[in-house]
Amino acid sequence: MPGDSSIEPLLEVRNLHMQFPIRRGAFRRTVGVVKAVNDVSFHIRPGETLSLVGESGCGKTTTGRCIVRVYEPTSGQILYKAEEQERIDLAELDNRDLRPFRREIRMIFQDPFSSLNPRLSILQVVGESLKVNRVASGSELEGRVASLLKRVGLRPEYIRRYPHAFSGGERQRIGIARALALNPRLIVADEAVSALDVSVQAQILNLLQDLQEELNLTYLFIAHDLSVVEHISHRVAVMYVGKIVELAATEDLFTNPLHPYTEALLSAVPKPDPRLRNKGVRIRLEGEVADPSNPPSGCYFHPRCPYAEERCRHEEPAVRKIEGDRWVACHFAEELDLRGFEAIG
Amino acid sequence: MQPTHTRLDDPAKTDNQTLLDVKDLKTHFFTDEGVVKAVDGVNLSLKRGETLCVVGESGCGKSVTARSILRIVPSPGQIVSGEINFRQRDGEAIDLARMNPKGREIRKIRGGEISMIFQEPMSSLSPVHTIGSQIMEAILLHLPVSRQEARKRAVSMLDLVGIPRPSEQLEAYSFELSGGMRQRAMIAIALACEPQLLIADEPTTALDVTTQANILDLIRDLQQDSGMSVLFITHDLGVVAEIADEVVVMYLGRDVESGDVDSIFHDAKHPYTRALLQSIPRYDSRENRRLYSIKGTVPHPFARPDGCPFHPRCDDFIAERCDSIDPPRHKLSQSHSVRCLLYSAADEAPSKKGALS
Amino acid sequence: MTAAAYPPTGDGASASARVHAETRIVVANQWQLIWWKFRKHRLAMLAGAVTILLYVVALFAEFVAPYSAGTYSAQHTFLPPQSINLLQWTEAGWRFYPHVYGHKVQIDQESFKRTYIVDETIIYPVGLFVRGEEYKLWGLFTLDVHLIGAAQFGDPVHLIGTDRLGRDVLSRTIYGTRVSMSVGLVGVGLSLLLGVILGGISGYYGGLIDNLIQRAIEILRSLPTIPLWMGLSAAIPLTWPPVRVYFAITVLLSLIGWTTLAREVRGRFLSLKTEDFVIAARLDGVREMQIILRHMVPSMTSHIIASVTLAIPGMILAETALSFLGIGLRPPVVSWGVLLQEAQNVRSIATAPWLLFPGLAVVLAVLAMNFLGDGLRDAADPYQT
Repeated sequence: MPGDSSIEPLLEVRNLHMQFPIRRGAFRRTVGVVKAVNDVSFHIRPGETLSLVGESGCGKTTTGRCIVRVYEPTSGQILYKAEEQERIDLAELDNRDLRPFRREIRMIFQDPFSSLNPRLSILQVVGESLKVNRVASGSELEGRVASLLKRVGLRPEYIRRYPHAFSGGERQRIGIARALALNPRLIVADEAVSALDVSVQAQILNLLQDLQEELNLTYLFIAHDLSVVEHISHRVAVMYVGKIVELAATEDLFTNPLHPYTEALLSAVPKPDPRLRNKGVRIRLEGEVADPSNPPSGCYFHPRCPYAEERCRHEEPAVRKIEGDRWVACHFAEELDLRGFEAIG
Repeated sequence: MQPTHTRLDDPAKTDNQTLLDVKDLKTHFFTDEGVVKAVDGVNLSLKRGETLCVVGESGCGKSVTARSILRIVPSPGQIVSGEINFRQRDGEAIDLARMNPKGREIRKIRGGEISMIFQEPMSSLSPVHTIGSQIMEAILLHLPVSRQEARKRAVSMLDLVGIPRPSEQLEAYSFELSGGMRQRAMIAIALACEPQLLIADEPTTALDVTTQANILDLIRDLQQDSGMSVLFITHDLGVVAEIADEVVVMYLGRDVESGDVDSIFHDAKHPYTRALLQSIPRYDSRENRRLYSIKGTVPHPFARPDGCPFHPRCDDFIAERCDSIDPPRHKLSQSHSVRCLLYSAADEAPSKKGALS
Repeated sequence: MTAAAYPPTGDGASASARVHAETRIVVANQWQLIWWKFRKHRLAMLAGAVTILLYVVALFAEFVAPYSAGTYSAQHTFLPPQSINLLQWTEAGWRFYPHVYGHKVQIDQESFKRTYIVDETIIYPVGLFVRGEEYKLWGLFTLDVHLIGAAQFGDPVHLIGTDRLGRDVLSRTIYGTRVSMSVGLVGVGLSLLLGVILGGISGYYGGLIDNLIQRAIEILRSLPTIPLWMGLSAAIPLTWPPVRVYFAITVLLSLIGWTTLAREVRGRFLSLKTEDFVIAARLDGVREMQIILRHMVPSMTSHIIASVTLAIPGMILAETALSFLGIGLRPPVVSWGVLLQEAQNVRSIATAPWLLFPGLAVVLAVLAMNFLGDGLRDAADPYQT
């Protein structure tokens, strides 16, 4: 999906595939593959927040992990534009060549408990990247970690404490401080607020937005909670069984979805207002999410789609560009009149 | 499905309408490090056929409250005081808090009169027994029927909760089902004996949003058909707005505010309830990109603040009152009460507006 | 609850103690948390004390034992245990005077069987820190002080009796502690080395090498151990000096022992590799070796210590079993198994049941190490809630 905006994208993902082999038996023979990410393309412009949404197993986390190169993608390109450099394909680099880019592309994890090594103090956790990249050491390191803690709203006196002394929200702040340590440009936030209580979630969302403004950060925000996504993102990509089914500006996607799956997702979100109960039309999906190791023919969504027709069963819809900056993978995107958030709400 | 707020003046009649009445329940955990007051004075009351949502953030004691009712509080937790009055099918009211948690009486209640479903169905379903045999076991335990009839009933239960091909799925094991189907199977087991009360402890938290919508619909439909009451434990205010008739908001083991769902969402009084409502991202908050956030964090269970438990984080904190006086329950109307000193001084009602109005 | 363990604060109610505890806990590292959690496990604490005591005894065997392992006395064969009397009646009244009574020998005229009859007129005073046989502690210092023994050098004081050559059972058991407890340590040490290296490789690299190591472990574990040990120890040349036999036996024991540890280590590596904090360290730019040493190994050391503690009793039992069967250590090496071999026939058990005393030592050591290991295992992960 080429960038059509005048600004050059910071990151462009082209035809990304990530397959995991399924191994069985004593000799671990490969008996099949899970197509966790299946031909995914998108781009992120500097300073924007792009969200990947979808239900569990849709490949959003795997996509994020390919970009930070926890995984080595099966195929496809991850083009990153570093400052004053040509675009470079991260998918091709090995661990050594990735090092400079690991400083600029950082990750925030979902689970604030498992993502911090309980055996290291906050100074060691947050300062690790500064230390291994020889940016700072000794008292300078301490000073930098302290100011990072202050930046994310923690008291710098906490520097010698261990993670077990902190609550979930505070740990997530520590995780954010770690991500900020090396002045990153792109942050992949993988369900960064999903494990948090609503009041803590609000604190962290505010913090992320403040940091974005202040440091001109670019976010790839991976989430399953549509209200959170609606709140934080500029553009949203909806994923279903390893594929992007729709990508649009947040406002457009929520008010006027073009893919039936997006419509169903929006309809399923509980509205925090009892007066909206039983108003509008409910769309309830039948059946189960398709198995990514054995997806259905044609459009992956057709067995559950209320608008499916014969064509959907045979022909796989390509991701098409529709009006401006909107992309959708549905044969009938133009014909269907789907309901957005407001219409349902 | 709007709640029927029958304002009954005849106390006897009101009494008969009330299925469950929890009064000043305290459940404490006696650990080596000290006493954790997980539930510290909770009041709630649930009428027949209604859905009561207990909402609060993690650690507020909502789950322990639910478990206290069924007397399945894990050790070293104990009900210290309070009443759990439950009206049995035969009309007799009993206090569950006084029962022996291992006794025959409470076992008859569990599954027969009160059933429970949990957040993670995998851990509450047996992996070595088929779904069918688990439903049949529940039926045979509580109802005087033959195996043949129990089996028939199991099939119809699976059908009722929307599991496709029920007579085949009777032979399925829990790990062969998807998360949503597992939750349906657990609901089938819970409802097999037509309980008067279903306690649902975060039943949709682990599910995807589309599956959650289906399960919520299912619980609502089943409730409409059977007339059972539902005690729904959740942290998700969206879910509360979808299914609750009455709401109890909990903070640090206390019911800080309770009322009908409309009052809670549109006329919230307690600063904590208001703060919670303002911190959820919602569609109309888009203009104002900053979310309201409660300052500070939930205090450590050993360091409960004196006075109102919320006072260190409260914006409307009144010095020398909130930090010393334990706010009593103040009835604002027939169906709405709040524990906050801003309102107990009834003469000067604060001019604060509700979160949404 | 964020922290699993809190330091006990005595009365547990006072607010200042609580605050103090909280400030202490927030900066507590892994080992402090483990210690706090372990400390609450009473039985394990006791077992730990017993284990330490056993190793102290092993270390200072020459000093603790009243006699050397080889001291014999032809006049006192199969002498039964003598009980210590603490007080003595004199004209002036009772006085504190620890002593044992002597024995008169009676020989049955028909069977020529020697029986000992306690003779209360013969009194051998007993004392602590008494002078006795000279010995060289750790081959360095020549001393003659013994923790306990006859107050007058040469008196026959045998608190647990003697064996068929008149050797002191207590002394021999104490010397046996040294060999038996260290067989466990050395054997487990070797297993640990093999287990951590092979298990680590298996878990970290995976793939073909993992496959090979795992299959090798399966084959080794499917072999019946006792016959294997018997076969292998039968292959140890009889002409070897006892020390070399001792090492051969420990190597033999660890040959099987490492498999359990390797599995443990591999499992830990596999699960740690996908932990978020390990991935985070990789994204921080930490090098492979540093990730292993700084993030993965510390996360499993406590588990490894626990499983090592649980593995030692197995080694002790294996050594005892082999020596008992006569295919392990052989006299003049003194180990519990070798000593028990003396008590192998019915006659000696009938006439001299005190020869089974080393068996008690085995039970004590194995129980203590098992309880200790259980406690350590429970405390090993202080971050679980």
